[in-house]
Amino acid sequence: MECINAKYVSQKISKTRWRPISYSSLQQPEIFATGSWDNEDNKISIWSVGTNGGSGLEDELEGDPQLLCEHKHDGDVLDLQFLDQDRIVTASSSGAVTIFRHHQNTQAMSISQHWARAHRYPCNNAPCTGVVCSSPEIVTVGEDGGIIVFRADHEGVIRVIENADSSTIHAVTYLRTTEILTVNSIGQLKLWDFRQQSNSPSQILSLSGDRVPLHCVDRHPNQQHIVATGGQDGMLCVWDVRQGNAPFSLMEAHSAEMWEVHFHPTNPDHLFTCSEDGSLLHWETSSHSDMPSFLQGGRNSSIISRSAMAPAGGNQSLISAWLSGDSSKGHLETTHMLPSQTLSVNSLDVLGQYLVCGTDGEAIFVNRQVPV
Amino acid sequence: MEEVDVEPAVTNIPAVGDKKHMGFAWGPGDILVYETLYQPPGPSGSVFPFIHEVRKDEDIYSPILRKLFNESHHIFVGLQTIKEDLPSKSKKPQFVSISKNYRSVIRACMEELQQVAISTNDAQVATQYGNQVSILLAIELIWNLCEVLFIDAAPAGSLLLHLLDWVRLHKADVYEKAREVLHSENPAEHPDYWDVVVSYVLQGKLEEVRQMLVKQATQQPAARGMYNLMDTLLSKMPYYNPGGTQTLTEFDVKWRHWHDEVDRCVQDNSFASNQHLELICKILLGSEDTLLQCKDLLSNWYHFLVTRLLFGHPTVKPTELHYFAQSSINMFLDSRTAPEPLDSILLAAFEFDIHQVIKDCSIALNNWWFVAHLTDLLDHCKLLQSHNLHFGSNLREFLLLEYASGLFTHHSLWQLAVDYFDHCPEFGRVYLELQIERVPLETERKALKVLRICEQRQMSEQVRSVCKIMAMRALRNNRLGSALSWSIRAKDAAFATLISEKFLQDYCARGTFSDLDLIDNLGPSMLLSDRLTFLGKYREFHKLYGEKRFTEAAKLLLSLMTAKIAPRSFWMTLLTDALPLLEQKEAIFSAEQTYELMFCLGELTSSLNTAAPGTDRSMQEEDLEVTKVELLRLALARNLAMAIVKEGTVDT
Amino acid sequence: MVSVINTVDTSHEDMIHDAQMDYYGTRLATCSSDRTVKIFDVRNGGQILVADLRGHEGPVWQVAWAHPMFGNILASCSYDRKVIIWKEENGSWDKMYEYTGHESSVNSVCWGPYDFGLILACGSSDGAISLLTFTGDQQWDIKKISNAHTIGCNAVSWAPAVVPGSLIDQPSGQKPNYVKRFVSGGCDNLVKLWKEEDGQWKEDQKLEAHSDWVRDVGWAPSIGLPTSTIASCSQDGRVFIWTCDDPAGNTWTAKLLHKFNDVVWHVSWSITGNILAVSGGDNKVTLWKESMDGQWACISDVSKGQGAVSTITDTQQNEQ
Repeated sequence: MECINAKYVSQKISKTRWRPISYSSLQQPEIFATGSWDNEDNKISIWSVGTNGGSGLEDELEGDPQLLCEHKHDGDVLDLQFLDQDRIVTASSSGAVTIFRHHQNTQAMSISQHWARAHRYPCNNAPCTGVVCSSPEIVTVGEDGGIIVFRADHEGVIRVIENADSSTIHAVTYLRTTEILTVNSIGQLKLWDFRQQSNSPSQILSLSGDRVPLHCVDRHPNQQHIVATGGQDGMLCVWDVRQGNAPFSLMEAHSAEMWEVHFHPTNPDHLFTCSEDGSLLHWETSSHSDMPSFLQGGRNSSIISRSAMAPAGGNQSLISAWLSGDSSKGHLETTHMLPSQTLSVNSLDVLGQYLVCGTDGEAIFVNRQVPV
Repeated sequence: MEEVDVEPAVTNIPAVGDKKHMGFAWGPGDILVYETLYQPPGPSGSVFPFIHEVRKDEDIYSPILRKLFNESHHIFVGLQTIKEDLPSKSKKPQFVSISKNYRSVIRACMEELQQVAISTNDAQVATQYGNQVSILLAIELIWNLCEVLFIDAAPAGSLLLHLLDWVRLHKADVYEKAREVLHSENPAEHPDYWDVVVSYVLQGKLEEVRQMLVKQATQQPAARGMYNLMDTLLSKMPYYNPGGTQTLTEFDVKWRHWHDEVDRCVQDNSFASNQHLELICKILLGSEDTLLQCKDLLSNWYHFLVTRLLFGHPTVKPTELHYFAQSSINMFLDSRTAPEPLDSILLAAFEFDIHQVIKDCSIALNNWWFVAHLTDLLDHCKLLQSHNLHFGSNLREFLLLEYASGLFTHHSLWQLAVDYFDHCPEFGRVYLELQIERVPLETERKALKVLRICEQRQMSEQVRSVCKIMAMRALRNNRLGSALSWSIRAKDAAFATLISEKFLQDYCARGTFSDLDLIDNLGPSMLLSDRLTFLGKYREFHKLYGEKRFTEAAKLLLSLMTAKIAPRSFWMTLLTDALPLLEQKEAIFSAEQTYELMFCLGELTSSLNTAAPGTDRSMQEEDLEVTKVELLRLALARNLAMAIVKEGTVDT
Repeated sequence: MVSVINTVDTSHEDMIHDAQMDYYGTRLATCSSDRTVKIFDVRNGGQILVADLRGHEGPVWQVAWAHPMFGNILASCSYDRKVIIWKEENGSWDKMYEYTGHESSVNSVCWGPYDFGLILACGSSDGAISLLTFTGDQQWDIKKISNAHTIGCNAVSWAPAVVPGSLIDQPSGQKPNYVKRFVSGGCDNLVKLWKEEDGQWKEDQKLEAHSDWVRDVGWAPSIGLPTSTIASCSQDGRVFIWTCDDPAGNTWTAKLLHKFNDVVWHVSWSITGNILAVSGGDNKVTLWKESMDGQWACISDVSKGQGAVSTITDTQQNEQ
């Protein structure tokens, strides 16, 4: 816990994201962005945790995030992604989608593209709930059940699927370059293939019967068929989109809404989840018997595995640890990463050994020694 | 209650005309006021069309104080979870450390405010922050004293040491001045040199005094003996060590011995040739007149009090404090200056009158944060029961409710208030119920957060209300799917029926279902309302039909009518749906089923005929209906024949 | 620290008679002698005119917001004897219903607790009180209490939806059996309590204490105690707090909050019922709070003062 820094920022944080780094350069993450919500004036802010901040203050806590610049954001920031090193895309409760440019030399921010009321009802704005991008393409989803495709360099809209979903779409992720996956408020995962002209999903997966709303989704960085989702009941589900239309395994994780789930981008045996219940969990699945000592104290979650019922995969070597279903042998360990918290952890992001998360308690936590 | 004996605060509203009235409304936390004339009718004269929004607690809107609210919320929640059954001995250090945590949050906030106040160019903002700093300073001062006296409850001996720390912490400008002197070219010649030395003496920082004096001594070789004597006196002054083996009586004997030595020096006029050293010596002796000469350096009566105790009564008992405090205040303040509110509060603390401290604070500081948190902590320390009978622990709840209600009117801090309400056993829940529904629900995400709060506390009425609001909003935005989901969550059968109707109307108009992903996925929630059940079942029929499972489809279709699941208005549609099934080559409907279909058709046509005269349907519609009925009759007859033949064949 | 945080210029051309924030404090409705009703979006300290509703042919006395679960609905009443219910549909505000059943000025409108559905009580100078209940499909059911107050009814206020005589938690899932009740005040110097029994409205209690016209009544929100509380104010300058601990609701006791030197026009409870605001002929709004030992004390004054925006005489110091 000692390596965690907390900073109170006088705004409830809805999203935190690291600026991408190039893996070849062995760089450490340095810059992250946050978005706020539920304030009269919401903001997106850029922070630095680098030691070269040059503040010169000796008593400054090492790694205490320093604000580099901020910009007013119209409406709650419901989602936020880095498009590239200096552009950020946000999804707003006002239905707008905005690209902000961070001018690194002057530490200023400006709006470089703005699609007002991208998501809307006949007479009102509809909150835009999620955004995912693969430069220059941007895909957004909203409470209006719509999916919109933009290009960063185009003023117009590339493609709109109106009423793609009869319920609210809560999150979206890329499955591959032409395929996205959305999750909605009645517990469904839908695959959309942009090569098709059809305005209906190519596949629907769902939790049987319960209609538990899903709030977040992330794809395994190396194996595109594996996705993790989290929902209202705080359960972590791992799915193999190639097989069956029910989750491969379900694990009890949180006691309230799971707001985000992230595979570690370079070490996908590790996964991170955060929740309305105020906790942030580190999940590790491992086939090594010598468990790292830092996980020994971790709590053992109860696990309901459906792996036994799932059909065996073709190529054993390709099956991820997440699908191997060996959880009963204690190969899945979870650790709480935050000191006791009462207010929701709304967002997290992990890059290298660095993790950042933001809460409704108006705090940002940075951990620079994530054991991965 | 707290304010009974003071004049209420007056807030002036600009320019409400003479002979006009002031109208108002709650909105919801603030108050709206406007000029009006209640006495109707009559010429109203000039009109003032403004409505002013008046807010009770502006401090909540300070961005820096928000950190105080958030951090202290965390501490507050931690405090509430301290186990009741722990022995009080092991709890005391915990309470002291919690008290220190609160204070360090106050300090951090104060420092940030100070920095902002300095760096801003806006004079008004600077004043505003400056005011907040001085309030926080007072709060920290009071809190610290309460910690020493009530929470830590130090016994004689340690008590003085704690008070000394308290004064040192709040009279820190000495160190800055000292640094300035020491960094000057020739410290001993610095105009503030002796001020610093004496200030150190007054705070009992005798080591520092000795170091400072060395600088002077080296410059005055002639007076070396005198300086050496002073150095000896200073170095020999005994301090009580609460952790040591020495008893208080032993310490007292030792101290008296030292005191006599100082007294001898004064009698001998040992320092007569140096007015500064003489002054120091008299201070060490505890001469009250001498101390009062140093008023400027002491700057306030409670510093005077502590210095007076240090050199006169180092083994002061808690019960004696009030006497010394009262006499110090009388000696220090001349009779013309009335004590300020802060003086009365501190005095009340020295008198161990906790209730008076809290009461005075809530009036003087205009800040619920402080009184609520301090009172809560004191209540946990079980310090409130013995005091004032008619408040008891209710005082705690009263203050927490005030503070939390203030938070709830804030657009963002309302989430913090929930935990405070949770820990108010009497009215907390009702307050939460009344306030939580007033949180604007701009997004579904926020609605879910509000719902989670309500569901965790089994506030089913509020859950229903929030879901209904969301359902209504979705419907108004033409999002039938979302509206249905929300009304299912609200368990609102009437609304689910209304939306199902809309789905069915949609189907009748367009011939296809919208939102199949939802309707196909209803599961057990289908049973919420009859109409919703029908919608789900009817869609199931279409699915079966689409999959060419005709027998099952036919059976379901018929049951929809015979089991009265389908509304009568929909029967014609259902019967029309039966047509293609009737016209299959194979008989799908059995003879018995066909009879039943015929019966349904009969019932429908008879009711249509009776209703016909009153309705004003166009001839065309009428014709269409008649044709449909005839077609159906024909198809039914044909099917019956086919079915009888088939069944007859199978039977034989 | 009490302070003015926002000022909305309504641009009404005549006297403002009422202003009401919606349920969330995001929209403000105002009405005036200029016969209009206006709705402003006042989020984030701004002011955007959302609607300028015209339909009344006389001064509009009061407006009232319905609970948001029914959509965006506002009721207004006027000197023109009409009650109009306005509704926002597809982004624009229109008349949903117009009630013309009173023979004189309608002075007060108040929506019932949402548990009863959409139900509006209207008090009129013709002495009658009307109850309008939405039955769906554009239909409103009308019930009228004739001669509720001789000479006229000035104010109506609903009781919170609580089950009489029972504070024990209801078995979950069971719809509690609420009794509809409201209070009214009128020119007969009386405060009257009304109760619905078998679909009919009946006078339940008659509270006598005022010696002049009763100008306003306010039923306090329920805070879980087996006590009902009502505030009433009158032309006689008195404000009474009426309480009833009896589960049957039959025994009401009056406590004098304060005797003002002038007419008291308006009383209103805060959301949690812990503060009562009172406004009278002395150009002041005073806030009152009950202490632990049951005493009422004035905690704050909102008063006319000598602000920068001066229109008429602002030389006169307000008396403390």
